[in-house]
Amino acid sequence: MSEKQLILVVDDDPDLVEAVSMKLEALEYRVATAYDGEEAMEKIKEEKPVLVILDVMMPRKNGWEVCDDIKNNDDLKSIIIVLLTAVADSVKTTSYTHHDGKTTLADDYIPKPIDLDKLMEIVKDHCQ
Amino acid sequence: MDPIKINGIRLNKNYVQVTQAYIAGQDQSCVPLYQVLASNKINMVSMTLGAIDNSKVFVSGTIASKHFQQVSSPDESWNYHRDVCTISIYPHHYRLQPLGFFLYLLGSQKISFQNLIFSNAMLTFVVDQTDCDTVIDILSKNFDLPPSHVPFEQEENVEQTKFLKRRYPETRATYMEKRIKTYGITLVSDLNLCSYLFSFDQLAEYGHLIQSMQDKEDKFFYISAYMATLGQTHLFLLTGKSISIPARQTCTAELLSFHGPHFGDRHSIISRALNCLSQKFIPVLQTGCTGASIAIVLPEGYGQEAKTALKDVFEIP
Repeated sequence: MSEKQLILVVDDDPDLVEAVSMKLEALEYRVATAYDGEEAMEKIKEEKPVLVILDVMMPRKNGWEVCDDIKNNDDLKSIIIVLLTAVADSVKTTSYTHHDGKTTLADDYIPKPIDLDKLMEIVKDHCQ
Repeated sequence: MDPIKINGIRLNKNYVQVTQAYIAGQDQSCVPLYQVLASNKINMVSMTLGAIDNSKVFVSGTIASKHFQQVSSPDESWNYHRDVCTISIYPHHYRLQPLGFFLYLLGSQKISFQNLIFSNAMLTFVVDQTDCDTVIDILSKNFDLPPSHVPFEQEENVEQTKFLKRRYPETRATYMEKRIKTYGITLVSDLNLCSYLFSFDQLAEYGHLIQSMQDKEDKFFYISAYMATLGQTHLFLLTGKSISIPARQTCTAELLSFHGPHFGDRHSIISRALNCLSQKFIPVLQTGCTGASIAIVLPEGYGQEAKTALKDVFEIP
């Protein structure tokens, strides 16, 4: 039997983390959780998830900074990143410019408030 | 016994706890707290409502101090408890063990609380702000936290928040939709609602009893509690099986629960839900809302009717 793929869910809202985690577990994924960007980076380095569902607006280290850290690290850059963003109207592509002028390369994004079923479809597509 | 694993503790300060008690259907002049706040466009970060002894209604809401000052006409039936904070542990996974252990810790350390409420992930206690350091210390020593856990008190990035509120009001969900988005409404039937009333001195004992039910009972479906006058604790526990702790009152019940984006940040949502049920004459036994979650406990047989009624107000995917 193949090993379950590990997904890291990162959001500063524990309720959202829980709701997403439950959906992923029902789809037979393994789930790790983090509640801000710094904790996320620790978990990413430690557990090497296949995909990270990453909130943008978080304390200490935001999602854009986490995204940069992952995509600029040769050991981590293959990790798939799906951004959860409430500012989706500023996202032209997944490589986009945010308000302080940085460009960040994510693999996909979904606008908040999120459609959980649509998020699961995105995860399944990337994890095939 | 191994320490109970949790992922984090969250502390939020500077709230006022407002409580209100009235007789349903009799106190015509008494407007429910949630309706007054909704008309003032003021949000409660959490609220519980309980019908006690079939007629008395008790409402307890947690409001940010800065917002409470904006209430234009506080009702004389309200009681205030200023300078409180909320302390949450997460996730609870609806297990009785962390719930009972939290109650036990507070009781054994003689720390009272104003309110207990739960969301999809969090068990939240409202306590005096003067006790917050003590409670945080007790929790961090007695629960098993991951070394990477986030700080207990989150610092708000004021500039970022201002920018987002100005440009993207939906990011803090201050808007109000005609029909409020949810992730779906779940109805669970064949549940048992147990009501307990005990003195503050017995809190540790009850906490220990609930904790010890972990092996016998699979999980809780709803929990709320508050301290009434004279140090009396009211506790309401909804489980799938009848539980072994003798209760003051028990009844069969159904649970409607739903989650949505930032319910805890937005005014009027619980008011719209309860008004909708009231207009259809659907009785409510208990209600709790905080974070992104709302839970409504109904007498047996009302669940489907209530779910249908709520579709007028809430969008169900």
